Amino acid sequence: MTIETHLNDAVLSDLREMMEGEFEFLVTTFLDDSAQRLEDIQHQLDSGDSAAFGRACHSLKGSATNLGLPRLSELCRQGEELGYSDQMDAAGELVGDIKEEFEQVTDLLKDYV
Amino acid sequence: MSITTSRSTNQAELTISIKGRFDFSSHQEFRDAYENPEGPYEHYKIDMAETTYLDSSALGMLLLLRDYAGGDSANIQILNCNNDVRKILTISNFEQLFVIQ
Amino acid sequence: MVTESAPKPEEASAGPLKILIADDNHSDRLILQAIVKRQGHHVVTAVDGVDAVEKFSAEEPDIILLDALMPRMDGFDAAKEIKKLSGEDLVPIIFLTSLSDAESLAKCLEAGGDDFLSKPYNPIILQAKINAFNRMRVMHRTLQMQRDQIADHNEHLVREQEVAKKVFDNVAHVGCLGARNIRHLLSPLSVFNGDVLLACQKPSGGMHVLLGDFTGHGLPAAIGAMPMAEIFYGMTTKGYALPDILREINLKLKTILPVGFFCCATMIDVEFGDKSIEIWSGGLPSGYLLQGGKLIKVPSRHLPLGIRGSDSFDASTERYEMHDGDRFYLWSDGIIEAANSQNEFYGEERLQALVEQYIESDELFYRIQRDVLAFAGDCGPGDDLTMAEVTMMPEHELGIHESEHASAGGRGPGKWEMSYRLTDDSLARFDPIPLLLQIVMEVPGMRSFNGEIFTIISELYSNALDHGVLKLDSSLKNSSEGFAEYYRLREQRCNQLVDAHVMVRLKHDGTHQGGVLTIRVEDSGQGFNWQKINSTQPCASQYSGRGVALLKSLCRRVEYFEPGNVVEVEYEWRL
Repeated sequence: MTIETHLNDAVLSDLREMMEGEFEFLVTTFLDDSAQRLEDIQHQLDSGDSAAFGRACHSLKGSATNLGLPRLSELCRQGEELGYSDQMDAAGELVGDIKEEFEQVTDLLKDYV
Repeated sequence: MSITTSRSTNQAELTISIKGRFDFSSHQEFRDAYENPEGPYEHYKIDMAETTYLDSSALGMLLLLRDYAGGDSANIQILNCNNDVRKILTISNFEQLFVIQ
Repeated sequence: MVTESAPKPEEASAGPLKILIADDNHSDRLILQAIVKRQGHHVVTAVDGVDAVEKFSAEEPDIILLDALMPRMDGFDAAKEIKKLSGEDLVPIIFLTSLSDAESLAKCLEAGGDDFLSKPYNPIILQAKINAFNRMRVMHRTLQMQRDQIADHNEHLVREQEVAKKVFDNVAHVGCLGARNIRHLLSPLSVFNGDVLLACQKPSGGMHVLLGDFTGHGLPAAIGAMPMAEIFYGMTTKGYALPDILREINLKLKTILPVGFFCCATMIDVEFGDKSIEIWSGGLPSGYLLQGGKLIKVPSRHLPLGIRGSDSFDASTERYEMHDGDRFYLWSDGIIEAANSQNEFYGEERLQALVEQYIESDELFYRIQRDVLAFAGDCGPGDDLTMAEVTMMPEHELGIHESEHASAGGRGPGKWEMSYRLTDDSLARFDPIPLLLQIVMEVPGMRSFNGEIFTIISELYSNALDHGVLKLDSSLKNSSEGFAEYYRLREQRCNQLVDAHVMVRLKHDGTHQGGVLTIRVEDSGQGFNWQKINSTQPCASQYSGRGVALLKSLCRRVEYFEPGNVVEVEYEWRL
């Protein structure tokens, strides 16, 4: 796997140009927000509310897409699907993958900034 | 409703053909048909072969044309009227003002 | 008149817009905000649905970017709320969503969403959407403004029409449409569809009725109707004859109406005394005369009023006998042109068949009305169904009284005399009676006797002209053929007058609150055996047409002088 699997450079460089001095603030905001959303995903997994789980994954998917994070976005999409189709058996493992990916992009984004 | 015009080769005669209902909605189109820079002509022919109906504002438009073409000295023929159209022209006694054939 | 032009809506491209961004995701909000700001617009942000609705009310943004899934209130409910608050204003809502299933997208539309924007946000696409919606928004505002303006103008117009109608009613409804021999149908706002129906008693008894149909609708039609009604009533009450009134109306309309505008009309003069009707018709469908159970169609013989100049206007009329119970129908083209849902006209054939079927029925008028309405069905014959039925009946049964003329109370002359002599051509062409009546009416207080004086002067004058100068025999009028012959001979002899004259001398001697009017009429004829009148029964002789009995009943003295071509009467009046 290359960095491109985790970070979409074209999206990020567009964002950097558009946000001007605010780019670093955007990244920090994203990371803080997403940490909270991960907690939310974990919480819904534990409670077994599959629809709420799907919505929480959907939400993180959206911002991950906007920030140009293809793999995180794709994992969240899978989580959304599991949630909406009430297939929570495989969800535990997927949440593990999402957390792992989030840690990885956190490091990569900090480097990128 | 549609109005078409044709000119004789010597430019002395203008024929205006009216298709469908001839009523107030034709006002501008009819005016445009006879009010043009080359006019007034010596003779006018109004071809009503395909005219289905006339209302009183159409009669008014014919009077406007008559006025434009010289009033009492105007030379205007109305041709090929169907029975309904003919009846309306007759009730109004327009044969006193136009040559109706 | 309102002339200010519509306020100009702002140009679609000019000026920054205020855009509300509602998204619970902070980083997404930051990105969107940056994109929108870079495009030069103002941004207001909201963090959830409730916040979005509050910000919408407080900030009145032009366009809204709304996330679908948000805490507290989701985008769907917020959109519904915002659409409700914005009423008829167009506030475009673009849903921000990565939802992709058809059901969710449909939910966005149902909630009032106008478009979607999916993640990752593409600045170019967003700009295109904002511009497109702004153009739509501006167009919507322009339409609204124009609509409001049209509504305002319309309201204004309706108010103006109401006032104009009141004025018209004051002018037009002084007549005798309420007489027992008239039935009529006329839309309450008929003056604005161009239809006019007027009826007025003549000072000699008898009445004039005029039905007119102006080209066009609305105020242009009403404008012509005003002077028409004024002339009709003014001249009829002064005793002018039908052709004179028509000539005057025609001239007035020709003068005031633009080319192309005219008035189709039928005017009748109903004589209850000699039971006849005189008809002039220009441009309206044939009038129907029901004479002794037979239908006589009286077609339009003339151009409508307001087209010809005075020199070529033709006021010639047709005269028919009418016995008590005979009826005349006049109508606008609204009856034959009443259309049903298949766009078929009611038509002359249907009308004629109905009239022939019910020719003896007293209900014919209502049958026609019902039949036309039933034919038109839901399409309705509209506003311009105007018709009148005029029945011949004894004058005293009409149920109307001579209009009470307000006493002028002026200081006109009380003692005077005059003579007026008409010769040859003028005899044939000019009717001096209205003029003479005018002069007599200048006497203070005399106006109340208008009718009687008119009767006396016109009896004397027409005796002198018809019997004295033209040598016509009134007994001719006793048969139908003779009736026509009488008027044919009259016309013919009028054109051959040589050295003929009629002289009228009027003398008034006023006393307090009254006076004596002496009228002496002399003609160039050979006179007649007047002594016979005094010896025989008043109505039995061949001179019955001279109305001597009538004169004797009105005047305190009626005296003939040898050889019978001079007559003098004295009329005494007292208030």
